Amino acid sequence: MTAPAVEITGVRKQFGQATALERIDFRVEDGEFVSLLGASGCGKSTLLRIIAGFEQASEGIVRVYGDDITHLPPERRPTNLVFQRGALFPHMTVRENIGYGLKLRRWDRARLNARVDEMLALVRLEGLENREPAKLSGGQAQRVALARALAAEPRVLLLDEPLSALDLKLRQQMQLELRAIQKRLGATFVFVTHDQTEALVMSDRIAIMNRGRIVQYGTPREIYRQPGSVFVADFIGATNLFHGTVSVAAGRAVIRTESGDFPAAIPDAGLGEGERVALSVRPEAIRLGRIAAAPPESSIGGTIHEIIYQGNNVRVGTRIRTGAIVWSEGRDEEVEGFSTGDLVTLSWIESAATVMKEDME
Amino acid sequence: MVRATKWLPAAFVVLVLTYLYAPIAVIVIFSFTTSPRLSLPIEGFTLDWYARSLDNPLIPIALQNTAILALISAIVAGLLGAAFAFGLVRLQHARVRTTLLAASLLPAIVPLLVIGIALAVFFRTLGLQQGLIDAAIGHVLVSLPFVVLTVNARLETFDFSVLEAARDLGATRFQAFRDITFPLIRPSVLGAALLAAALSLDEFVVTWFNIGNQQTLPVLVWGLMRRGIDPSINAIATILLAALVGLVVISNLLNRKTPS
Repeated sequence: MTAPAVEITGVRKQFGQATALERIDFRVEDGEFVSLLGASGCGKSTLLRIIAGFEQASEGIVRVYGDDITHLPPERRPTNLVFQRGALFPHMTVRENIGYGLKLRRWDRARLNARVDEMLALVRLEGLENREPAKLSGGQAQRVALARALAAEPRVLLLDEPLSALDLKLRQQMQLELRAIQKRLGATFVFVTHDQTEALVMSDRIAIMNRGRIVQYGTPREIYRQPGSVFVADFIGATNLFHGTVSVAAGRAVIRTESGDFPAAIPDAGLGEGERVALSVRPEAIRLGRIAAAPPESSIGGTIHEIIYQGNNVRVGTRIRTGAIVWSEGRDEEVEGFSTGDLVTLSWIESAATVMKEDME
Repeated sequence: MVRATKWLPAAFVVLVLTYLYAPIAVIVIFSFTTSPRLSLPIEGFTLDWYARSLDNPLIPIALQNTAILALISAIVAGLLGAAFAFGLVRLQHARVRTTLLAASLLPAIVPLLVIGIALAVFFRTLGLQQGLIDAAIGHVLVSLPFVVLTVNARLETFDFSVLEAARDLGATRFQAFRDITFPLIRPSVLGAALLAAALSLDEFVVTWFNIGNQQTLPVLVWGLMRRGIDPSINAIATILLAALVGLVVISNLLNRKTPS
């Protein structure tokens, strides 16, 4: 069995009095695309810079394919980094930028040029090799930065929000392109982002970070469907949260909330009766209906407060008895005929509801 | 009335510019005229005064000393100032950084007279003979703030992530400096060095207090002036002016061409 591409063991990072990272344990397998996702200041960039060698961990070990690189300077690490704003060398052409790392490795000219051409083809920038970075568009500059970082075939490619400066359409296109390049090369990518959609679209696995910790690590589907905490549920996509306590009636678990009692499967984490929990229901799992004679198991009545048309989807905000707004989302035709002020029933199937322990903070 | 509001501002601008440039223009023009006296109308043009000024045996020595001082200022102030500015921008605390920058710029507004006398007294306490070395130290001191200011302005827009990118691609600290930092800041360091040379070229006050019995061009001109105005002084002043303008223009061009 091969060693993990990246293995972080007990890494802490202290900046003066402030703790940026608290005892991180984290593994990336060979050939994986992993995103570090979190809001600014959560420590994701610090963790990436510790892997790249620009920050030193206060404690802990960083291994790449089994080699301890904790104390190696950046130039001797088998990793390369794509910077947020490209960080292209302004006084060098595109070709010189991409070939710089190879030149330092004393590749002979023919081999170096062949490799640069290969990289230009990979990022689809043939013909621009003699441009200066100042004359490139944002998307082109990031492609050059990617080509430059990949030229020497790093064992792990690190990417620090490389798409965040691009406009939405270009960003979406580059996400797919980046993903395709990663799959084609079979390379290991560690990608830092604050954009949850970006992380969901691109990653094999996502590590969600908050306050210097990894709070959940899993596939996009796991993270989205089974958020392990209120923070994650709230951070990844929109969700409706009902706060309440666990109770057991007729051998079945029910979450008692101000808005009503909802049956739900209790995770194995050992949540006993009376435990304070939150119930998360995604808007797209909620069905909007006319007041039914016999409401299904999980349902709440309310009045439509707001209807937001989003083209392919329509979001509906319904004010329930407690005064809170519950959001549901559906295709246009599902919502047709409803208007603001209508009395409605919101319902969902039991398996659509996720129960999690209330966060400590 | 409408007319007056139109040409009055223009006239005002012309007046101010005349005030600024007329004395200089007079010196330049009379360095080329045949008449030994500053008088109109101009009778004819000649290069005699330039030839005459170079006849003065003190001129070559003064010229040489001036060149030496300018060169020392350019190199020493250029390197010191650039290194200082570089250290400055890498400081983490913004407060400390701005305070240190202000402190390094302060000598630029201290009266030259004070600097000149202070240096003279200081060198005497050290038992140092007045001479070129003293003057050189003075010149470096006077031009250093301007070098720091110029290089600092460039470095504030310098993207330091390119250095990390170089290290990441396998460059050692030295290679990153050689391949990236140096080529990027070279124009502005060179520009700052030329500015230092320009400042040194016409420095008089600090020089006069510290150079002893040696000559520089400005000190020599001052000496000659005491014996009366001679058109050869116009010639020397014009040479100095040309050198200065040349240096400042090149310095500005270098700073402007810097890629950001």
